[in-house]
Amino acid sequence: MDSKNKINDTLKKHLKGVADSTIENLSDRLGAQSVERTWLMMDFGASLAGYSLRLAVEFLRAAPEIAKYTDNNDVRKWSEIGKRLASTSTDVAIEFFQSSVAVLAPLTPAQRSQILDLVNKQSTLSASIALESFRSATAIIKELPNEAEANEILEICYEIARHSVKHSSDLLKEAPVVTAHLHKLDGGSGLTDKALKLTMAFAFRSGGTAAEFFSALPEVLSTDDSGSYLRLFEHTSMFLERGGGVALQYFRAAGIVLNNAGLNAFERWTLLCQSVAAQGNAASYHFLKASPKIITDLTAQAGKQKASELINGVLEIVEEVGQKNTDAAVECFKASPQALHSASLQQFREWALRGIGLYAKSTRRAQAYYALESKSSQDTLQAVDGGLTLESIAQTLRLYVEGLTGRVFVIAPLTAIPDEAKIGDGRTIHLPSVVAEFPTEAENFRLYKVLAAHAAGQVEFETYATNTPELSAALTDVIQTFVTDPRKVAQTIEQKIKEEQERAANQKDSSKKKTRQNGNGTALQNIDFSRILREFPYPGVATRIFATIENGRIDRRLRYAYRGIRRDLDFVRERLIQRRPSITDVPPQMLLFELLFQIALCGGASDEARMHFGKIITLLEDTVESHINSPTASVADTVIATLRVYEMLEKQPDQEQSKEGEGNENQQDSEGEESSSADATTGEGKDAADGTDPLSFWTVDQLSDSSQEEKTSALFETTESPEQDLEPGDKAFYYDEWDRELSDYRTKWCRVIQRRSTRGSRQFVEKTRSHYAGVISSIRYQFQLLKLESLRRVYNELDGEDFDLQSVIQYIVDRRTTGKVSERLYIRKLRRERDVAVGFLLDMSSSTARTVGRHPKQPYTKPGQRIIDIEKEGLVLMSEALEAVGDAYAMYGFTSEGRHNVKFYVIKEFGEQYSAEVERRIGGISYQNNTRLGAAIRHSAAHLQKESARTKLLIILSDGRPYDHDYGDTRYAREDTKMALRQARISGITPFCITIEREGEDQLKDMYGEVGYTIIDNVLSLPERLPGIYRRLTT
Amino acid sequence: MREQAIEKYKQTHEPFYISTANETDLFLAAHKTKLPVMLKGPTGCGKTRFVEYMAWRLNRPLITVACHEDLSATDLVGRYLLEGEDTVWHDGPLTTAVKNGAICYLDEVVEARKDTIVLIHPLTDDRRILPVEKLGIILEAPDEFMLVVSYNPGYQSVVKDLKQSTRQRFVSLEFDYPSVTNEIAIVAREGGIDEATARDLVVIGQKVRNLKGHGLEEGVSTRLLVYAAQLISKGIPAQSACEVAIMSPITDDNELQRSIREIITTVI
Repeated sequence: MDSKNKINDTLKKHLKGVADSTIENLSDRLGAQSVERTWLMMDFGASLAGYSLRLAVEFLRAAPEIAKYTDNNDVRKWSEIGKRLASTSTDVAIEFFQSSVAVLAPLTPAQRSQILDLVNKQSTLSASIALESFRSATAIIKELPNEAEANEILEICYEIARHSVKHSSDLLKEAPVVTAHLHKLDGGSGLTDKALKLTMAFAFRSGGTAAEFFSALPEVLSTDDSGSYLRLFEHTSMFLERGGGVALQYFRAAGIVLNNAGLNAFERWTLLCQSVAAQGNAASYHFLKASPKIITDLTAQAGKQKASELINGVLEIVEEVGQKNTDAAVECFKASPQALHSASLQQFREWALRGIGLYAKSTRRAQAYYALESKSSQDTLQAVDGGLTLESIAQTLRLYVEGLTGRVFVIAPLTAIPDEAKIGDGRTIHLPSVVAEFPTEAENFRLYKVLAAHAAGQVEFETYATNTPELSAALTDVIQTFVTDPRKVAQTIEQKIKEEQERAANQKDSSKKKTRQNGNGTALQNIDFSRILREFPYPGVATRIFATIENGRIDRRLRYAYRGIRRDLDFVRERLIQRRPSITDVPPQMLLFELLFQIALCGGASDEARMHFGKIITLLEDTVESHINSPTASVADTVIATLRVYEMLEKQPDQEQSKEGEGNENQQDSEGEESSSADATTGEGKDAADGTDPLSFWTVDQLSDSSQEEKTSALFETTESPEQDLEPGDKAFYYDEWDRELSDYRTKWCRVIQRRSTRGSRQFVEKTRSHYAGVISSIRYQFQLLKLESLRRVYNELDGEDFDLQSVIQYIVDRRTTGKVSERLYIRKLRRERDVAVGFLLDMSSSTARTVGRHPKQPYTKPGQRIIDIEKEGLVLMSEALEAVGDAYAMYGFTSEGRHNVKFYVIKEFGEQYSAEVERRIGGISYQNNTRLGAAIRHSAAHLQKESARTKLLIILSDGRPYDHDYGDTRYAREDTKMALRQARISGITPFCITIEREGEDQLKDMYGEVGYTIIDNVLSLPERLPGIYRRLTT
Repeated sequence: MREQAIEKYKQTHEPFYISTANETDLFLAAHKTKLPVMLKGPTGCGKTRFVEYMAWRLNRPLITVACHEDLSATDLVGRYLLEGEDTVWHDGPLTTAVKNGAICYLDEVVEARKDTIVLIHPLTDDRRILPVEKLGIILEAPDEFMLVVSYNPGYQSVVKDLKQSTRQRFVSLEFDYPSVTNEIAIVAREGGIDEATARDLVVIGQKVRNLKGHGLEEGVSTRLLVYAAQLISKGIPAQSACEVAIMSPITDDNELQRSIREIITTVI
């Protein structure tokens, strides 16, 4: 009683203003404990009262309860946490105390202690997160599979909390999901245990990364191959020695490799990683970052089924290269998706090996080689004798198919060779990027031809037909087959019609569709083969059957329609037959597909198959041939044949049991017992279609592959100025650039953006005109003289429109005197025109903003002129001259900001009238950025090339040396310019450069020496001299 | 003597022609009403053959002038030539046609020079006269005279387009390649080959015509198909006949040639 009063008094003292009854209540509860604890609590309560009375009350209310479950040490910890929280926010602290009992009561003493430790740690950094973890802890722990793991996870969280509170709470939150996933995979392999150990190692090594690792687990471990994942953990823990970040990145990338390409590829790739890692963390970081994209690109290219094969192949080559040079290995791995777009693995290997030597010469050169930037690199890739590439014959094939069908197609590459032509969307033809099936190019081409002919056949023989009466009938047939109750058939169809109508109605344009009547009711709309295939109970299986039979139908119809293609079809068929697996090796669930394939596309089943499965083959053959072997078989016939085969598959169990035995003697009897396995087959069929068998290459919806391929773009363009977005109306062109050091072109290196010039005011032109009025009139006069009469009389012709009187007189005189006469008596009128097209290329770089011509002695009120303005004046005078003479001309200007942004302004195009609009554009010319001269010359030359004139001139107005961001040193830029000029000249254009750069004539000579050039000393005289120069050039 | 000279322009036997629509009736009506006719259509689709056939139907001589860039007015109307001591006037083809009431057919009229084309203007309206400047006379065309020009819109070059003032003087008949059945009959008959082979050739023709606009300026003409057929009938293997008569003439582009070759080997 004494002690209770004491407690009461003390409480009253510290908790002034708290109701007596509350204090009474509290002291009752406190008093029920040992004295030591009571005073411990009283002491704490008193200190908390300093923050808030309510807080102290809450504490004192909860404390005796907590004390029931915990020892003194934990009570102290608990109190400390509350106090620390209170220092941030009393509300949080109050909540903490209020929730404490509910959280701690259900746990084991060890867990309580751990939780308190964890929250204690967290609370030092973030009160709110600490509270959150604390409140959710119990629920989470209850969700965890067992106590040991819970303890381990709490321990990990504690470890992480030393570095990052956020991460530790994240990990705690994810724990139930992740561990559940791990347990699912585990199967006694110790996966979960290893995963937790590794997480712990992460936590020790680098804190927060552990949480990221932990949360990545479910995504990375996505298949049930726990064995491989254990290997993955081992490797990851090795990487952990290099740092948490690298290890985490390795883990993520490795997961993608493992899941896409299997264990073998993974091991190879890891070896590569390790050799890269030896070069330091920056290198491995870069490599690991790039890897997932490379792997997914390769996967997309090969299609899911063949990805593993392809990636393994690539890594094998990379490994081989890596034995000689690690850098080369990494680079060629990076280049592999791009390279394999247009080359076979064999070519890729040769190419990769040939590049190694370049490192000895120059790293830069080697990098360019492996990035496939240099032309010789691309040539090497193609030149290696590795079969025929699609790239080299795509145009021929495209025209071939367009010729056969009269439709426009896109040809898209595939990295794997399909056994059957893919049934796509009727607009895109998917062909393998390389064919090396046969020793000679001609034979490889025949394979391409057959695949292309099949694609054309799909169009010509209407695989994609819609809404034909035959298809409608086929649809009804299919529905009838699978709706067992005959009365329901009509109902089902009606219901479907209704559904479709509703859908159509939703699509707004329903009015037309709805009103279309057919027979006694409304018909189903948009019936095509895929629509019908969806009606099968297992569309995947039906699709597969359909594909094979449809290919068979196309094959037959091609044979009926075109005599010539039979030779090629036979040739390829021969190959297909050779490649058929032995029928006894075919897995049972694939058996029917294999037989069907042989019947549909190989001209009948093999003798071996016939021996084993004679009866079913006869059946299949009858079905297939009776439907599709006719010169008029349509896609509907294929659908019906598909239905029949599908039914056979359902009724006729696969016969693997009997195949080992005595052929087909007991198949009839075994029907009953094996029907269950037939179901298994059909069920599995859908998976099989996505599986690994080469036959299953085909699926209707595989189009997604190709869209991914397009995304495969240059991976590592980081250091250069980025591509700027195009404005509306812009057109982009790509040009090669000459690299002096490589002695080779960098392909498609510069992007030239062509855009209409900005409009300024006409004032500039008018001012120039009035300023040069005298000069202009004399220029006009001179140029008009240049203009030839369109008809010229030619005398002394053998034949012509009229007699030449002089010649006739001479003729008569000659005849009378010598008897020797000249027959050339006629005058002929000949048309002769000036046939000149000229393009002016104006340097608009910012260096043209320089002012020249102010005489030092003249006052500043009379400023000089900017070079660009002088150039513009030159253009004005030139256009006067050109209008007078009537030559075709164009005016362009250019600036550049790095190789991706060479801007090419069209001031006046060939064939465009010299109008007020053009005058405004001249007025609008202004200066900016740099001078990537080579690209601009190439683009102008491309414009001139289109002109039919006999003389083509390209006049370049520049103020000096070319320069741009990534345009190398001056020498590089000069060499590129020189090369561009040389190219232009070879293509029949006469370039001429007018420059006002006075310094470094040697360099100018080097750059322009091969073509004509002139240096204008007195810049101000440029406008007047320009027409003169032009006249000299063209007469 | 003049009469005999014009006789050589008469069609002695019926040219083989399959009418595809009502073009013969239209032509006859135009002749009756003295309207000039313009035949439009791709090269080698049978325009010339049609005129020959119509000349035979109307029993008129047919004088054909292939127009070219340097074809002058003198070339059409006539000129003085020195013959011994004399200068003798020689009628040009157009003058001959007018004098004899023949059908004058100016093939590929766009090719002719603009100043030459103007010359036919007075002949093509209701005046129907031909002024012969050098002789100082004006010839009036008899009722039987008819002017026919052909024009291939496929060229569509800006330089070579007929002026509206010229175009609008003609009744215009559109021609196109014959239908498949007709073309098979034509190729079989003209080329002297059996129908199956003719069918193959026509199928090739159809496929190659699909390429028009995708690289080919113009599809392969019926004439070329007939050439191929004629070569085949003389014992040349079908494939090489097609290559020399179909593939090579229509394009120089290597890839295109290869595509066409593949089409040929697909069909034959």
